[in-house]
Amino acid sequence: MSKVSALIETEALKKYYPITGGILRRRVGEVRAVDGVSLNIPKKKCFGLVGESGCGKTTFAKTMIRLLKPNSGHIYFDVPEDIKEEIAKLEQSKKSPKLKKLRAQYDLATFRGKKLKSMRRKMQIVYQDPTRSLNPRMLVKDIVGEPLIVQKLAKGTERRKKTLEILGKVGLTEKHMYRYPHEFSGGQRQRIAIARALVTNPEFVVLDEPTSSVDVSVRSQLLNLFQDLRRELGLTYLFISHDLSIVECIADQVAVMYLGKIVELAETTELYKNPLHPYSLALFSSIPIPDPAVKRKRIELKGEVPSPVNPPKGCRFHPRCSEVIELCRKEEPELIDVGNGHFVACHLFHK
Amino acid sequence: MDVKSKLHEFRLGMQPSIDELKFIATRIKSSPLSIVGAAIVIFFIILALAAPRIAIPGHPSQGGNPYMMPKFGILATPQPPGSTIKDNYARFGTTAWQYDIYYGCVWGSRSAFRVGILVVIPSLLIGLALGTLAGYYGGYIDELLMRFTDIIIAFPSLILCMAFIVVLVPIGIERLDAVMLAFVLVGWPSYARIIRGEALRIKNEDYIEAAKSIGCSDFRVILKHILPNSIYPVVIMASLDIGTIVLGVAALTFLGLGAPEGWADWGQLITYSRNFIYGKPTDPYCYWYTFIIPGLFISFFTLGWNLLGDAFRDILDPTIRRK
Amino acid sequence: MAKNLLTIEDLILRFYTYEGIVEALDKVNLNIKDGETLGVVGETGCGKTVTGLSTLVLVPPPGKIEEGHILFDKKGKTIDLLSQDEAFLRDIRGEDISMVFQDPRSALNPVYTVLEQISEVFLHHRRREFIEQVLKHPLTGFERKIYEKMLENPESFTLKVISKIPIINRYKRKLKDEISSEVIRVLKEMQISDPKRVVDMYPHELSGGMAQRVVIAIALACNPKLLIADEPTTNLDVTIQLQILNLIRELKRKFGSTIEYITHDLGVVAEMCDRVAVMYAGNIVEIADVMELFKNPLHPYTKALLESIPRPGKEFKSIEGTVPSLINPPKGCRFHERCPYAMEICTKEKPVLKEITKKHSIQCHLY
Repeated sequence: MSKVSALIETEALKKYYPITGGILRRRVGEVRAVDGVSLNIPKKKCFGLVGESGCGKTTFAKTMIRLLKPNSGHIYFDVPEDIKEEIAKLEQSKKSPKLKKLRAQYDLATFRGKKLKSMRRKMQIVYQDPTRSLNPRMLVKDIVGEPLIVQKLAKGTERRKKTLEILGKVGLTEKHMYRYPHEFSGGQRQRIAIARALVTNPEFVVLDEPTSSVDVSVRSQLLNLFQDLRRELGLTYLFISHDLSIVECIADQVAVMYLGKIVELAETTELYKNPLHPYSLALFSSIPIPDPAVKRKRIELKGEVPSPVNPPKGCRFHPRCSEVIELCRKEEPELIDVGNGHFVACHLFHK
Repeated sequence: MDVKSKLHEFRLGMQPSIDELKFIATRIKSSPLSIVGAAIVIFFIILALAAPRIAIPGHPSQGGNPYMMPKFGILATPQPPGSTIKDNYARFGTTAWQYDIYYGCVWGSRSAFRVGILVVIPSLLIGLALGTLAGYYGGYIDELLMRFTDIIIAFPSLILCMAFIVVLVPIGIERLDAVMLAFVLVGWPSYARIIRGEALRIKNEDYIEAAKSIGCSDFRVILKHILPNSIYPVVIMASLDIGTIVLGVAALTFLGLGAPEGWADWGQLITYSRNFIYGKPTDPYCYWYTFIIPGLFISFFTLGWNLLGDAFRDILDPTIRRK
Repeated sequence: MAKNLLTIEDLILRFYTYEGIVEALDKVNLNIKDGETLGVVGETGCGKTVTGLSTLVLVPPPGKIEEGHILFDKKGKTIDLLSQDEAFLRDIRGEDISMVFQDPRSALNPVYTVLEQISEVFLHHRRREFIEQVLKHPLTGFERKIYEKMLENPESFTLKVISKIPIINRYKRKLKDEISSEVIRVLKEMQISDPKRVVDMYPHELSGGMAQRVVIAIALACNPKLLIADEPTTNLDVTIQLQILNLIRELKRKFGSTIEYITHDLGVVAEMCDRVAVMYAGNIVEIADVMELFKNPLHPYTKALLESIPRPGKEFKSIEGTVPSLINPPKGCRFHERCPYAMEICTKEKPVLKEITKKHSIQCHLY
């Protein structure tokens, strides 16, 4: 697939939420938040994930770093290529015991207990709203220092030194350590959250709409910080956002999600220049452009996003698609390579 | 060099606590009722601490136990305040069977604090532990616990207390200890319910998930993240409860199931006034001092804690702060 | 030359909080011409929302309007909204000036259906017209008498008593039906495809876009002259935002409303507005026609704001420093601490809003 090795790879990852009803609380249905997503995030790159509310991007990211337990599928974190190939081969020939052993050793979806806990050091997440993601009753130094305690990485003065160091990297000083989160502005709170995520020296950081809750002027400061930190610490990002203009500037590759599935995937410049999937076209055309002189054709989508409890049969987008054909109602399209590292899941491109 | 930096860090570390205290002081100053409440409680604390000085024990009738009220005579009829019985000066008068009201009221404050604190703190701790577990884990643990609390809350609390006391005393537990244990057993469900509600609300917050994402164990999440954020309603309830518990013990004593005979306790004093409330046909309420004086002590004690509890709620409620 | 529908003159607004007195609005001057869409842009805390609330005189305590005039042109007569009593203002709200809020779910009362909430507007402002409509239908003698009584003496005691008696007060149904059909018509205008089903729904059953349409329906029910839209699409998905923006544009074309559009999104401003006012820390720093503002921004803050829009390939430009606390605002021009062009005079004297051209006014010592 890609020449750069993948840091984290998922295969057919699924996450369903059961809906219980009735007196005995039986399972009457499920919310198919993530319905079979296979993604490949290259090392030291920024991978963008876009989509509207309810498409499953946050659920996918949280499942990927095992904050949620997947229902099925596999996650490979920094697994060497030859092991992955071996697993693929074994799957085809169905040799059970060795497959099971390899899976238990390398498949993040199966990890539990101590093994999972030690993996947490390497994967971190920064949430959208820093007011809610920081414990209001904890001092900044404790918030940022806690990962070191829990992961048993540093004690006493060593811990204090590391805390100070990481706070310095995000632009905060010693006097900020002894305050509570509510004494800071939104932008500063987000920096504290970033410091907490980076203090264990992770390799992979999920950024879940990290700039949505802050002001426009602070946004740019944070985005610059993200880029500097990525270069300096060699991080890999998964940048989730519904703000397409920001993703265009910060991500190397972008994937578009709709109702729990990836509908299009390409390098950023390619995708923004040449979106192929009808949903991507509508999505990109609906961004308001801050220039009154530019008038362009806007594609307005009819209707609302359907519920992930009962997704439409066949292609999930077909009820709202302007280019729908008969096949779309029956069969779900697969993600296909149309050249140049550009993947689309649409019957119109199945040639 | 090391001492200097340690001092520096200590001072920095104290700063947020100092800021909090300043904020609390301003809020207390702005609400006159909370000052009154605090003053009343402080008065009783001083009274309890100074009891051996203000009401000196050592009367032969006490039998060496300062917590028993001195008996000045053997007459059934209470004597009015200021009278002297057999060279003993009764400042507030005496009850039926000549127990010294003054001594009883002063040392009764010690009894009140002892009962209040020894009941509220264990109730609080048990309620906290069980409530947090129920709220955090949910599922069967939650169901089981809630049914348990339902059973206890379904009974009228005083009646259930009496039932517990009647069971516990014959086993050999001291009378007053049995009373306190009974109150603890009846009281913890209310705390558990409140904390469970708070835990349910908090466990869905982002920072809890963030704590899990760095690898915190469940125990650590509960202790360091959920508890500090959910403790306010419980603290408020606890301070209100101290007053209520004292009233409850007084009621039980009145019914005969509380403090033992002659114990220096406000409820006990009122018990002794049982037959003398109406006074003489020609002179109604002439024995007012047997129940009004101890009654005032109970009322003010409860009032003080109630006002203080209200003050805590106004100060600690994070949603109405900083207005 | 269109005349002004709304003029805000020298408006000063303060919030009295525990931490101090917040100087939220510092002599704000603004005017909206009849039929135009004025955009009010600024970051969080700049005062754009309270400006909108002030127009409706709905600023919650501890806020207090200290000085200033808000002149509204009601059917040719100019009145100062700040010197009117509450009863008069209640008539104006919903009838002449309406507001659409940011979060549709919290702007709707969760225990009332859509029908009940939109009906409330009609019942308050258009009661007479609806009763007259009902009287045109065939009615029983009893019902006719009651409705006529409602017209001539709505406060009558007998009416109040009768309206509480269970079976007799079924006469109310006629009025409700009349209003109901009007509500369905309004919802159709909002491009809701199945209004009969939607009217009986509760707010929590509606999606974000649908709920916002209901809020707009409530605001536009009585066809007010001025609509204040406070970030109506910020909480919505971008494809739904497009639907709502198109809807607002269509409604404006049909009803000729004047709109004050409050937002922080410059893209939306470029799409929707004719003129733009830029606010910073409680001041209006620049007002210009939309083309002029984007092509030729004059105020340093506006320039910085436009530069901070992310562009691919270029580095992210941000504005140095943070928004100052309004409890002790900086002396002179409130932007001087972050302004790359700050001069001596900026720290001492506050600049006045000056008209550079007919299309462009600015508040800055550089001009």
